[in-house]
Amino acid sequence: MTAIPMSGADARATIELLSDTHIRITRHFAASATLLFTAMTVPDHVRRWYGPRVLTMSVCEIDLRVGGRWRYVLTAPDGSEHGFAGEYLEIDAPHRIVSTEYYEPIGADHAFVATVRLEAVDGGTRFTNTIQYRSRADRDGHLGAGMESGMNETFDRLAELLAASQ
Amino acid sequence: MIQTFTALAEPNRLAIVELLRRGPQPVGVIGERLHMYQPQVSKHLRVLRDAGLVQVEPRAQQRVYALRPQALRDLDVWLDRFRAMWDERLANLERYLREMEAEEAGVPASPAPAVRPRNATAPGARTRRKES
Repeated sequence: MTAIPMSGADARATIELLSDTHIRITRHFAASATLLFTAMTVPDHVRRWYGPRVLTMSVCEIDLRVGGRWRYVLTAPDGSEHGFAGEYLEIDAPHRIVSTEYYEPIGADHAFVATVRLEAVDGGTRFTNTIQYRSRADRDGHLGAGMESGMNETFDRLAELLAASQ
Repeated sequence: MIQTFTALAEPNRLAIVELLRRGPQPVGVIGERLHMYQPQVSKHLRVLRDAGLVQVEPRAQQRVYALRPQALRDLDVWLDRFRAMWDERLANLERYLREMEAEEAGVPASPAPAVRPRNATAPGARTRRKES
């Protein structure tokens, strides 16, 4: 299926809708895959970049091995907590990590599989995170809406329409 | 939101919304401009109305449809949210990688846009505030 980038510049994340149950997030980094892998898998590093500005990462646990679990908790200024957790399925340092992830309030039944690839390219590393959901409903829940497949052109026109409506 | 997006994810309905963006139109004109039969137009308008994207403006003798702009603004906000979350996260990662590289090289990190206040030593610690 044709990918529909939602953002053009390399230095911004591109979101592609690959199918009803797959999306892909891509970004280029001016750093080595080794450094990226370390930054993404060592808790003391992960705490320093993972969460949005307004949230604090109060829990960052990583048991980096096949079958090992991970857990992050982001805490808001009002004290409310957002927990995410999962398990590592495959680890091929520094090029690939496959893990499951779910939002704790929703539960492990709706976990998705995230495959992060770090590939050496000119000038650095290409990060791609391909997310596979169990169902279209799970994908929609994560993205926040429902969409029909095969809507490439429609989506482009929609994007233009929204831009013109501002 | 799910309804809104599903409503728009159909080429004919998107065409109707694009037409109405230029101004309200009677049902008949919509059909003419977009080369659709009346029953088809009515069917699509019903979906768009249920999704809160269009509303009927009663005029004598005619059913005139108009766009509800707030619905589109809500949708744009939603679409942007997911991408913006990843933009922020990966931009933070990029900035942090520069710090890591600078530390390895033993030089101060190159200037970056506003550094996030983050306590590097104690997990989960918040910035202390002076009690007045």
